Amino acid sequence: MTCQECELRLSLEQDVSEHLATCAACRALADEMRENAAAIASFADDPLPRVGHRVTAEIRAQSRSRQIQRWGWALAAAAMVLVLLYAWPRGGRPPGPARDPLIAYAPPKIESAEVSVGRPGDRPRTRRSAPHRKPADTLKVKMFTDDPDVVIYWLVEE
Amino acid sequence: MATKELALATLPRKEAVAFEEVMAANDRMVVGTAYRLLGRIEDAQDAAQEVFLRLFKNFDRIDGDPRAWLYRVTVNICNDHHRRRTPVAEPDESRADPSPDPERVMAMDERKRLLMEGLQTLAERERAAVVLREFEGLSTREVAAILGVEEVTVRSQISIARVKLAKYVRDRK
Ligand SMILES: [Zn+2]
Repeated sequence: MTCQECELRLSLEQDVSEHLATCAACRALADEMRENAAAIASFADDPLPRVGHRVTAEIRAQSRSRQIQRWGWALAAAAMVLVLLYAWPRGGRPPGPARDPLIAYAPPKIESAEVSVGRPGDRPRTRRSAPHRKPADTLKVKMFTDDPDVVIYWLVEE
Repeated sequence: MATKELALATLPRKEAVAFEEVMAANDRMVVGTAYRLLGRIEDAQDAAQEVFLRLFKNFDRIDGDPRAWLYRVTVNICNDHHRRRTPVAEPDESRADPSPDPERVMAMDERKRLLMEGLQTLAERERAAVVLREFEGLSTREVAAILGVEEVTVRSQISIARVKLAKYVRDRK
């Protein structure tokens, strides 16, 4: 038996007493293995720290941070809903109360006036100017509409 | 009090109680396994915490004895830790005594320290197999099921690991 074979058989806990009787090196290795086995067995009595409390604390911390995250998302969602409620046009109608339609009134017709300045002491006299055209020169066509208050006049110049 | 808070957190109260019972029953086992696999107690505590947080998340999906599940997840998480680490330095041969005295009796504590060191020099599969089989005392069949390999593979890995550990200690006496 070679020393290599002996090593293998030693590690498999097989009987190698014949080789050990003649080989000091293998005998030494066999001693190491035996003492190692005893040392390994004694590890079972060694005190070891526990991690249970660390694990519990970590689970609690993770759970808390998840809760905070959930609340954060809920708050963000609520804020978004509020923003949308205020910003979104309601039912497609324009914002604000409905206003009366604007009515444009034609400015009153100002007839041209002429002021003549007389001598001192005289009362100032005004004279209405004559219209530019005589009514007789214009053909007036009156048209009625659906609205009784609205009448359209066509003025056709001759 | 912690149970009450857990129940408030995510699990129904009954399950929270069951979770805490499983954690209390396996706390030492997970920390110990992680310690042998990683070699540093602080890393082992971090890994064990990760294991139990994963258990918490998957608690309703685990049927029966959760020990096999815990061992498997512990091995996976510790392997990930190991891979993220800076590579372990090769065993320093210059530290080996050129003329070791086989008769010298080594203090048990020193041997245990060397064994912990030696474990970190093993291949990932060898380390997992020897920790579960030798340190945790599982059967070869259980180890094979946890690691997802054949029993014969486990036997071979453990055999290699034993020789390597014996030589590691011998060369540092
Ligand atoms: Zn030999």
